[in-house]
Amino acid sequence: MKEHSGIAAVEGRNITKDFVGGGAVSNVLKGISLKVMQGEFVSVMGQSGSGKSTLLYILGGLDTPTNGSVYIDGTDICSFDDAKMSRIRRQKIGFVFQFYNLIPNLNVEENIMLPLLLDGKKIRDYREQLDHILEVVGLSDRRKHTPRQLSGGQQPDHNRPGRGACIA
Amino acid sequence: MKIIIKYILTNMKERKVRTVVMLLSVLLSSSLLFVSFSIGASYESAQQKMARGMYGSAAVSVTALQSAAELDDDTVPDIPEIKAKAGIRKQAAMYSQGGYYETVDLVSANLEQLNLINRPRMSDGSGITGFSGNQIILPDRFTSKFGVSKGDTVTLLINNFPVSFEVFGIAAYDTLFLRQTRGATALVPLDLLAGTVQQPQKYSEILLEPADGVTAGELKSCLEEKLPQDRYHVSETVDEAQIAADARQKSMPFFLISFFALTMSVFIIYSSYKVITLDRLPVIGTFRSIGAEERTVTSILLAESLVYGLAGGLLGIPVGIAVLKVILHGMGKGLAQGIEIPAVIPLPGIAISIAAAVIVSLLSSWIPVRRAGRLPVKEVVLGTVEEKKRPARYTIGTAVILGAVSIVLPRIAPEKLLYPAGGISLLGLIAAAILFIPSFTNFVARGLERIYGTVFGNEGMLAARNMRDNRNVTQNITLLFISISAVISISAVGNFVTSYISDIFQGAELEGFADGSMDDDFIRQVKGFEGIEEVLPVQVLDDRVHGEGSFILLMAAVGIVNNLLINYMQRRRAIAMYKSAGLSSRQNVKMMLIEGVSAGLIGAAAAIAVSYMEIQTIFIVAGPKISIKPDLDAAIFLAAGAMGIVVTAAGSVVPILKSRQMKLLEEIKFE
Repeated sequence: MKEHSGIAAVEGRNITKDFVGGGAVSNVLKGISLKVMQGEFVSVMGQSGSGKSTLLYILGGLDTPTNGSVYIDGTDICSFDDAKMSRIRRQKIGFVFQFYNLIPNLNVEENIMLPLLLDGKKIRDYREQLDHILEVVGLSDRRKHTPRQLSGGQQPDHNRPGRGACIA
Repeated sequence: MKIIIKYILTNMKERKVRTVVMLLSVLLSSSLLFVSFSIGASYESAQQKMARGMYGSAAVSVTALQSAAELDDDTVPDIPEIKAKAGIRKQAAMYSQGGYYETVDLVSANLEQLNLINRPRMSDGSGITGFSGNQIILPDRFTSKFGVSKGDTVTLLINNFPVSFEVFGIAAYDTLFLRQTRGATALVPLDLLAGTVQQPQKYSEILLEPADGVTAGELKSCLEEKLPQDRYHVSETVDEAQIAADARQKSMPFFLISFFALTMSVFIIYSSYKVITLDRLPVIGTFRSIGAEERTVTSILLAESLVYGLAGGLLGIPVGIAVLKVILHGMGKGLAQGIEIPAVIPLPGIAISIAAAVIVSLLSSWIPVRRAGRLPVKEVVLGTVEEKKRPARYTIGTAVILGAVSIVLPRIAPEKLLYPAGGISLLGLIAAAILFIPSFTNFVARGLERIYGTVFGNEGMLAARNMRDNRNVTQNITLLFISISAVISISAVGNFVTSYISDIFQGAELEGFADGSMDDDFIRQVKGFEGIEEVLPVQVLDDRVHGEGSFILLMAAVGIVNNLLINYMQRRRAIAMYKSAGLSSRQNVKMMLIEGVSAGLIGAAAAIAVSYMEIQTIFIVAGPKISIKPDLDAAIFLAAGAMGIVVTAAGSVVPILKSRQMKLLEEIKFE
């Protein structure tokens, strides 16, 4: 792995994760460390069941490691309470899920803008950025449509939280 | 067959809350219906017993209409239709003790004659011999109330003159001592009243026992032919028709409550089954893919509904019996003489209540089950089932037409068809409201988005946004609306009589007010008195009706909590998505509370509007025949509305707690 200097956007230090089930303990992650710098594009690859999703959930703050720590912009998030963690998710982290997981009652615009809405921002203040994103993903003419009204192929192009975080 | 039973029982065990809610709703409805049947039968039986108690075997009575008419041993001819007769003399008196006044109706009779018709029973089992002079026999209720013993001297005011009596004996509270009004009845020697009070006739009333094989009606007709009708009045001592009519009046409010309870059960079961069939789609897919027919799938799903109906119906009977005893105890206490009304349990009432429970359960689940059974196998197996949405204008149009017909129908129906018209009208109003609520909710939610955005920030806006096109929210609102409108209607009808009476007597010189059971005979006599201008018979509803109204709220609360839990279970994923986008627990609580309270507001508003129309219908169909419109107290509406908001707010607590404990990752992973 490349060595980096400076504060990483996302950093994991010696992350381990164990799952207990049926009386047995399975060590899914055994001391993973990595740094992802601002602007870097990193792809995590591995066999099925190797712990890729588990690592991403931990790095994204959706799960906590058994041991080790996670840093977002230099801040250790493992000890964060619900309020602080929620703010990090609103402002720093975005997810694109395997099965879309969009809010069914909200339209395209609102799904994209959701993190900002939860942060108290108004859609009208981000009109320009929103128009740009919709153009990029080809959903300008479907901005008022709900997920039900989109075809299966169009749904992941929301990439809602990630884009919203970028806008912020 | 065993496997299917096991499948059904496993399903019921897995979703305990839903199972309990459906069972409870059926149980409460069937127990209420059972109580409705039994109240009337019990009351009727008690009234008949009381009347028979007071009059013994005398089925006909003769009174004089004019002061000039003689009423003595020769007035009534000796005809073969008469088995026995007894003349009695009555006089009102007053007893006072420590500033408290009690009416005492003195009755004197030829004891030999009286013993043939209605032999008085002494509480110590002794007979009545040597009863003469200033002696009096008092009932045990009176003597224990005032601490009077045998041998004591009591003074009664007769026509404002004090007259002293020696207590000859204490009688059991039955036979002629039984009363239907306040006060006491006392027996005095015949000669005493004849000597004490100046009355033109020897007797006040002659009681007659019909001969064997002769009915009361036949004897009455026979005597009416023989006695001049302008001088004498012949009547049956026990007016069966009047008692039956009174009993119907008593049970009417309970039938009304049962109606609302059954409506709620229908809705709870229907909405639960819509969720059940959705949940079971994968299983249905499996069944169909291995060759099960539509009919088989439908039967299996309906069998579960049958279990709810049977279990709820059967369990509702013992619950109903317990409730009935409590109500009858209260009813008995409420009567002036405080007697115990024994519970009469009509077998047809039991059968109908259980049958209603089963029918309601099966019919309510029929539509969603049938729909699920008829889905194309491919769609079910591939999980591509989509619910076809009807255009809003179709449902709104249907709602408007249904509502209009429901409002007009009782106003144009002929008198004979008023009851069925009223029932159809109430059902139609509720159905119209149910159809209208989703569109109404969407409309209000749109408005609330802007308002809440300003007042509560984006969380408020998102909460209002979540209410649009949200089936679970509209189900909660509908449940709330049905229950609150029921409580409002029942309260308004019950309260009306109180305000009506005070209104009528406003500005009038009220000389007297009598309460108790009055029949047409009594009313006719009073109208004939000198100086009487207006006689107003009114029926006062039992306070117990208000207590029964709380059954409705209980059902609503149960149904709403169930819906909120279902709402939470189906929204788990959406809540998890919000959380992954950065929704904090505090924000989640805020959103759920705003949504809950808003749903409560909309439900209350719908209830207020619909119950106003329901009350009009109830008064047209079953209310007193008066031209005054009921003056409805705004407080009833507002209180019921507030109650609804509290129920939904309180009902949001469980989903809020569950979402706090939610394991985010478990919801996001779609294994």
